[in-house]
Amino acid sequence: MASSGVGRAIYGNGPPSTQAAFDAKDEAAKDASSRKLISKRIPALRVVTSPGERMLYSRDQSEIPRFLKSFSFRSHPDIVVQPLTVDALSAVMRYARSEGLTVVPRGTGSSPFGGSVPVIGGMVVDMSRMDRIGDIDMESRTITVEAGARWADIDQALLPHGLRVPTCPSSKFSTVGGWIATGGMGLNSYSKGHLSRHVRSLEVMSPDGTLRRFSQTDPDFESIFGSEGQVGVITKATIAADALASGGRPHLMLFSTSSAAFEFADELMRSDVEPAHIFYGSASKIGIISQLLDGKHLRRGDGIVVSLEDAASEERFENFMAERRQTQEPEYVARYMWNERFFPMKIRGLGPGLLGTEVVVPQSRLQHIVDVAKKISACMSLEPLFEIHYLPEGEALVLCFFLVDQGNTFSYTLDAVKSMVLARALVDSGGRPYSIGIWNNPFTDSADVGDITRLRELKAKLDPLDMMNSGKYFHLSGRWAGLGALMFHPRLMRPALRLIIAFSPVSTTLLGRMSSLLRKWFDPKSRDRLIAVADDCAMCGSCVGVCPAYALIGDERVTARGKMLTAKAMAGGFSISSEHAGRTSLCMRCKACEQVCQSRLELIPAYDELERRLERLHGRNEKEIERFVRFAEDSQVYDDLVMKGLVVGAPRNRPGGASDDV
Amino acid sequence: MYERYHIPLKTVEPRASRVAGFTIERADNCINCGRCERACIYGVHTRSRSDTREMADPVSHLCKDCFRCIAECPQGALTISRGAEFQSLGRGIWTPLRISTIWSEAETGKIPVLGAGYKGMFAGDGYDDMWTDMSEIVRPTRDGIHGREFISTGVDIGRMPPFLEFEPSGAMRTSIPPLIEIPIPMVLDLTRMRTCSKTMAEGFLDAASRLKTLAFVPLGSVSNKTIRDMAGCVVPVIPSHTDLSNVNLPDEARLIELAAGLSWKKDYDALVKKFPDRVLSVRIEAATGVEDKVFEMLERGVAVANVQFTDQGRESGRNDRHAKDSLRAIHDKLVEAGRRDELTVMAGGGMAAAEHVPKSIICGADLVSLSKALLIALECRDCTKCESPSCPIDLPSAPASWVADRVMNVVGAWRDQLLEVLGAMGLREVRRLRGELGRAIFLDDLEADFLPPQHGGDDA
Repeated sequence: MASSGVGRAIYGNGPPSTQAAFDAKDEAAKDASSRKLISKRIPALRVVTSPGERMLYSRDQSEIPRFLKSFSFRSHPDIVVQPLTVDALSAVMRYARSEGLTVVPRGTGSSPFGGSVPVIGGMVVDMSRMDRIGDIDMESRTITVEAGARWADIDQALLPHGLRVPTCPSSKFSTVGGWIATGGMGLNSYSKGHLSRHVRSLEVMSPDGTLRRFSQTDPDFESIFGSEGQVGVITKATIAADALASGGRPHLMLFSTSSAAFEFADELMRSDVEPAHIFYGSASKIGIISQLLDGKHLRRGDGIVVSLEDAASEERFENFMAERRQTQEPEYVARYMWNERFFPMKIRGLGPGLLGTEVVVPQSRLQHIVDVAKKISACMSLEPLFEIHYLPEGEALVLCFFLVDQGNTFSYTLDAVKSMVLARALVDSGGRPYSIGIWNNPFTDSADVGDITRLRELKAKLDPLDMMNSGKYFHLSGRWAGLGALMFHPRLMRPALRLIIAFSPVSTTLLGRMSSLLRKWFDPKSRDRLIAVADDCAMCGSCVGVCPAYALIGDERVTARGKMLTAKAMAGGFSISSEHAGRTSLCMRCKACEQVCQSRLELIPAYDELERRLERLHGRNEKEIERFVRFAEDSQVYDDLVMKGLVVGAPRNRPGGASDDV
Repeated sequence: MYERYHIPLKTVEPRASRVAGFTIERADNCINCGRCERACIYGVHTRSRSDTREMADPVSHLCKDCFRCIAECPQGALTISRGAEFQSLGRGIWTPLRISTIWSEAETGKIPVLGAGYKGMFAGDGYDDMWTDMSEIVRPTRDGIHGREFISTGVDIGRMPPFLEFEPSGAMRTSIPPLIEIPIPMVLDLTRMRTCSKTMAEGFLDAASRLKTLAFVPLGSVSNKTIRDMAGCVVPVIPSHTDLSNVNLPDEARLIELAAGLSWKKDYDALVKKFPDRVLSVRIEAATGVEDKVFEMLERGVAVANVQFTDQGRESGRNDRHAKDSLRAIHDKLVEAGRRDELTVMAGGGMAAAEHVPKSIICGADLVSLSKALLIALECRDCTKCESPSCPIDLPSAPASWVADRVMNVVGAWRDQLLEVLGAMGLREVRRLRGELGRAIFLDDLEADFLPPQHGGDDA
């Protein structure tokens, strides 16, 4: 309201506070390196001091069996910082250099491959609070944003100007910097191509603390994409926007076999229809979505979802369909499936847990790869769920998932091994890993050699001391002088996995049998409901970007993801300090997290339960909660968030208000 | 010692659950942002006491319909609607708004506030087609309820001789008839109530005594001892055809009333004979030609004519005029005869809002009696199911002190509103308001002045 010039309420609870930051007690830093950094008093830099908060930075979206991870890697960071300005980032980079610390850049941590997780400790630089969205240049139709800006927020900033982002990841709440560094292939990639085509220029903070600018014509520009934090910290990007599309809509076609679906997609691509995006959902996946919906609206079948964006292609599509005498599902079902593109993790709750792999394959080998995956999975008593996004230049991004039970550590560890076997099989059938991080290291032998070489050369130029995200990508380091990580080395892992595949179905059936035995022996007798919710959580970080409490204090423990991790940590025996418990209660109960939750979790009851448990340990600090709520109400940041609408597209009742079309 | 008249007010919590005039509902898309709490000056929206992060359920009955929360909610999560139970309250002139206004006056003793203003029609039936002229509102001496200037609300009850006669010696020849002065132009009438338990009666009498006004009670319902204890506040109402030989009333019954029947003259004569030194009142039911009946009473020597209208404020019978027209006719008749001060005119029935007091007085009444409004003050739902087990609020069990406090609050609030009217008119006493038709505008007059003849306007 303040921005619209009406001013804040004249009646209220006293004058607005002038307090700049909420002064909840922070645990003092216990370790020397954090203390030393704090003593430098770098402005606009938040140093994360409490062990509880730092714990959140030892992982990303993936749920790695504890034994695999803690045995092999030192994933707990030594220092975690949140720079708010480029100057703060530059200063902290120089500090890391002087201390010989490895720097691990991080966005929202929504990728599952471990790119933002330390393997040998070091300093995690959380860029998600450098999220300013700059002005829009209407002439060149570009928007300049900081690396921590989230795709959903950029889209919202563009909307009033009739513009939109040309392509975005399925997690719209991931950061610009994060997607540039990890992938750049996602929704609308089929028509718009790789993200690098739409980024006009980039700014990258080098390890020596200087800012470098790369324009699209720069020879090294391409190599920044997918560089996984190896060459510097991306700080800014100028992105070319697209005009809003109208006149088209999504369509869903169901087929009795996957080959029929692929064939349809092939013909569609050869036709003159020019769809904006095409993706395939396997019958198994569509079945689950239907089951979650209520079983009445979706037929079972292998589905192709086609998104059209203008009336002309609608017309051509109609002709195309008529020629083929192809039927399609009702519009509302198609729109529902199209909306599901943002919620790939929704099915987790049925496990609870989801494992899988992502590979890029030539379209010509899609059928082969699906068959291989099905065959091996069947032996291992798994049912694979496929989501395949078509990419330009004859490629496709295959997401192959299967539901697992995270509640049983033993069978879950075995499931992780199975997913490795599956990934190996897919890679050996002509795929290459989409992203490398930690967990795809065993498959680097199949990655594009040219890409790796170019990146290696750029790293030699920008990061000669190997300070950036070291111990990953080119080789994997870890505990025991790297011995722990050795098992993820392609030279060791490949023959091992290939051996299993070679002796399939005997070996794979054996894995399947072992699973059922482990499940029989170790399945938890009763499930803790709170932990079940926490296990359902995809840890995707969508909630972080919309959390007003996080926007105010920058501590991820106040977000849904932070709370679910706190619940898990408690269950895992991690001792929660009273300060940590207090932070967990700092919440505005705005339910923005529930709105964006990938797993569609009922979070508020889970918070209540978590708080009850924490209160048993540390009591309830109602005063601090109230102080926080009043602080938020007085804060301009919160006011702006509320007036903007915490969640883009979340329903509002107001006539003429924001539509609920996502 | 000079003692200024003052009605002490205090908050008197309701006994029954409240009926909200407006229902505020908060939809699930509320984000607990707290903007409504800041927006609402009436306290409808607050954060939960047990958990500051969540909004408590809206306290609908505090809502004044100002729409501010609706306008400010960034989520559009709030809905306002008329309360269903509220809308079914009362009938006729006893509208839900008037009933709930009396409730809030009885609870707080304060002048009612209507958030988004009066949204009804400009004119209506009865008292709604006259408006008090408060153009003196800009006078610097305007006092209102703030007490910087003294405004008297006191009235006299009894016969006042038109002039005084003196003996040549200087002694007064005129014998002064008994006269009662009360500090407010409102008395309490317990005789017309649909229900009045012992504790309720006790409470009403207590209120009358603390207000220094009168309470009209059925003969025999109050012991003589109580009449004595109440020191002049109790007015026994004697039914017609009562054999007075067994009626003994202590001197503290300064005013005695007779309910007029067909043979009221005989009853009245007997009453004068039995109680020659008291102020005597005759109660009549208003009907066609009431002004002639009142004039007859004057001629008979009656001191007070208590003219009773229906609960809707009209005469009984077919050609039922509204009280304002009846009262004007009575007043005019008395004025024409030049004998207005010889008779006190009291009006009862249909007093549903504070404004009805000054309006009745402008039309010619000296004072008014309150009856149904007093029951409403006790949270009566006006549902007419008064028998003990069926009364939804169990009114008969209301404790006396609570009854007294609620009544004090209502009368206090109504007097404050009367003071506002007087202050805005620049009048210093309510006696002067009686029959001051120039202080009001009537719809009939406006129509006569401004409408063409075919629509009811005057030819001239």
